[in-house]
Amino acid sequence: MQNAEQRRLELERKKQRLAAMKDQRRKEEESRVQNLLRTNENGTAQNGASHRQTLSSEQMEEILREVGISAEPTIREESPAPPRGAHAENHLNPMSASASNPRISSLLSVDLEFSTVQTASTDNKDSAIYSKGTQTDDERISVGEFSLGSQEFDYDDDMIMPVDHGQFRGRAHSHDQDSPLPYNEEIAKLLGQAKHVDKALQRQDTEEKKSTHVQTVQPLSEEERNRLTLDPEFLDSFNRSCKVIGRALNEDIDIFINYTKDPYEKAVASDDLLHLAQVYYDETWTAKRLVTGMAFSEHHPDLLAVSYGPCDVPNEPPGVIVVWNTKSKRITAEFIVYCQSEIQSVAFARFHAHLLLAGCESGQICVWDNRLTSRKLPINRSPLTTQAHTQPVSCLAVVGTKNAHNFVSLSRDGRICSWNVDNLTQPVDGKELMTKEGKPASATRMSFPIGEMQTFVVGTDTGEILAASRNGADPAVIKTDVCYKGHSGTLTGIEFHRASGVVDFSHLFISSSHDWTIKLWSTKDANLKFSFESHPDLVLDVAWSPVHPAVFASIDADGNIFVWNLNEDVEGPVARLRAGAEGDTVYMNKLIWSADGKHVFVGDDEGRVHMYDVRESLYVLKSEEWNRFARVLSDMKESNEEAEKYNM
Amino acid sequence: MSDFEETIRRLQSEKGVAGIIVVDSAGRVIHSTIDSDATQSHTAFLQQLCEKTKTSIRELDSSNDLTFLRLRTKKNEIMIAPDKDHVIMVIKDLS
Repeated sequence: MQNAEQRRLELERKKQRLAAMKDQRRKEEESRVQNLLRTNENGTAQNGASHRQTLSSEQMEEILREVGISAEPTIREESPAPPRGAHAENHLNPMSASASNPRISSLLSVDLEFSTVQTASTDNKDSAIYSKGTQTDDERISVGEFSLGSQEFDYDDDMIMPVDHGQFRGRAHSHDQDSPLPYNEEIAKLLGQAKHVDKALQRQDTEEKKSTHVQTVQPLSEEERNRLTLDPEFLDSFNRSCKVIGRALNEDIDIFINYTKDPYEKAVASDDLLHLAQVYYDETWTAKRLVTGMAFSEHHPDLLAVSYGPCDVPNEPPGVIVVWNTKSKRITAEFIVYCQSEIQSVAFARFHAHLLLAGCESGQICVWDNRLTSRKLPINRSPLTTQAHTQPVSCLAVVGTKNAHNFVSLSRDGRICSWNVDNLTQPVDGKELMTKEGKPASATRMSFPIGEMQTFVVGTDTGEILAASRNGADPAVIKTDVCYKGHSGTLTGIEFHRASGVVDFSHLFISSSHDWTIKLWSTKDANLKFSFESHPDLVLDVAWSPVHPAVFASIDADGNIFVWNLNEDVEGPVARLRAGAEGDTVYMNKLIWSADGKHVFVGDDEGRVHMYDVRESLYVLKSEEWNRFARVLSDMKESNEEAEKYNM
Repeated sequence: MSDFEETIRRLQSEKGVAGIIVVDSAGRVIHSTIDSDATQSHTAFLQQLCEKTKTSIRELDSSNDLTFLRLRTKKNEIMIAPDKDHVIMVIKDLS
């Protein structure tokens, strides 16, 4: 008996708790509906979806009353003290809507058919049903069925009031998750079998929609079409739309254009045109030494001789030459030789496969023979006399043919000596290069045109380029024939055009200077010149591609390597690459192309030689490149002539 | 040649135009310059998309309406001009 009493009390307590919960829920619902109404008044009163939703609920209630069913579900009887809402909107309670749905299924379906529903909200309803349907727990289904109603409401709320979005979303969730189980059970009991009916109804509903959709796809009859296409009103609006489309079609703006993108970034970031393949370096012999000169062997195109400057370590030879094998996958030094003077320049003796020549700081010229592998010191060296050089030998060149060739050396004071490679005891001749004003020129670099052994150009400290011929009448002086003025800083690199093909470009030469520019010149035509001003620092070397007529490479003190293709772009490089790691500047000093034009070698001040692979388009070339380059040059000339005309 | 066909022809001759479909408000094809299968699928999906867009726009602001729909895709650009009693869809190749 006491047990029964206890149970009764417990039941009573539970009922009270339930009532309190419902009360709270009702209040929430009330405030929500009020909110909803308020926003409706604020201009969205005519909103299609929400309007329909509220109306249909109200209508439903009316219909229900007519039929004699209370809109308020039977829950009311069980709840002890449900505060009957003062507002009529209270009846919009989704619970009541979903609860009453099944009972008036026939009427409701008529109602739905009547409204042509092809809206976003219906689709959402479908998907909601689908996801809930996958749940297997009966209890959960019923909860889902219940919360479906409120979700519909919430969805509409979202659509109407994007401002209050978060708030309502939050509410919807609390509805779903925090519903107390006993409460749900009650509703589940109430809904019972009804939910199946409800589902069936909705399925039917979607099927109906589908069928109407299928209907719309049915083709127009010929007659209808003709009538339509001749209807002036239709034609009028149709033509207007067509005009709009026509304008949209002709709008020639790239909406995806990115103005912040650096056009060079791609070439820099990707290994498009330049790719670091190898670094030649030797801890003992080349570490901390500046690369002072590089030369390829003509007999063995794989062999690259690199001369290195002094290092700080005492008792180490100040001048070292390492001959690297560039074909080997391994970093292999084929020969290492040295001498007791700093080496300024290096060259292979063109017609003596085994001889290696070097110009020294002291003014001496040293020769090594690579057949004598054990002998690291020079086999021969020139005397230090006034007949030869007394200043650093900055440039070496072997010119001529197999049977009549000379070895020419240039020293800083502008003295040019010709030698017989086999006899270094005294030069064949030694002459001073004089500027036009008759002063000695302080020469830095020298270059001979391909196949030419008499005329040459020399770059000077002042930025002038002097063109002269070796075999003048004067036995002691070489007079400057032409002086090219344009550079304002010390010349660091000068080279005649190298690639030979259907058009002869051997009159072209290119120069780099401390004035941050590279300039293109022609010995034939004073009007043919061009200045390339893309480098952001001192330009330290420049070299033509040995195979492509319009390609050259250049390096600057900022660590940039530029590859230019004048057939593609005369204003800027086609590829640029910054050597070394991020934020670390590598001081590049010397640049050379491999004989096949596939690699660029760059020497730095740390004793490293970096080998870069060049993309195929720069060495596998079509014959039209020559004519294209000729056109580029004539364009340059033309614009120069025009500019001159205006300056007159 | 009727005025209608003349307009279609002129639109067709614009650069890059790959296809034109004209449908009435119920989604029935009035005219198409592409094969019927493609027309059917394009009409079905684009009509739905257009309707949905229109609904969304109206729900955001009931005084607003969709006037032109441009879709940029990887391969082409689709322009949809909905009107009271018809919808024009133009597919433009991007190249």
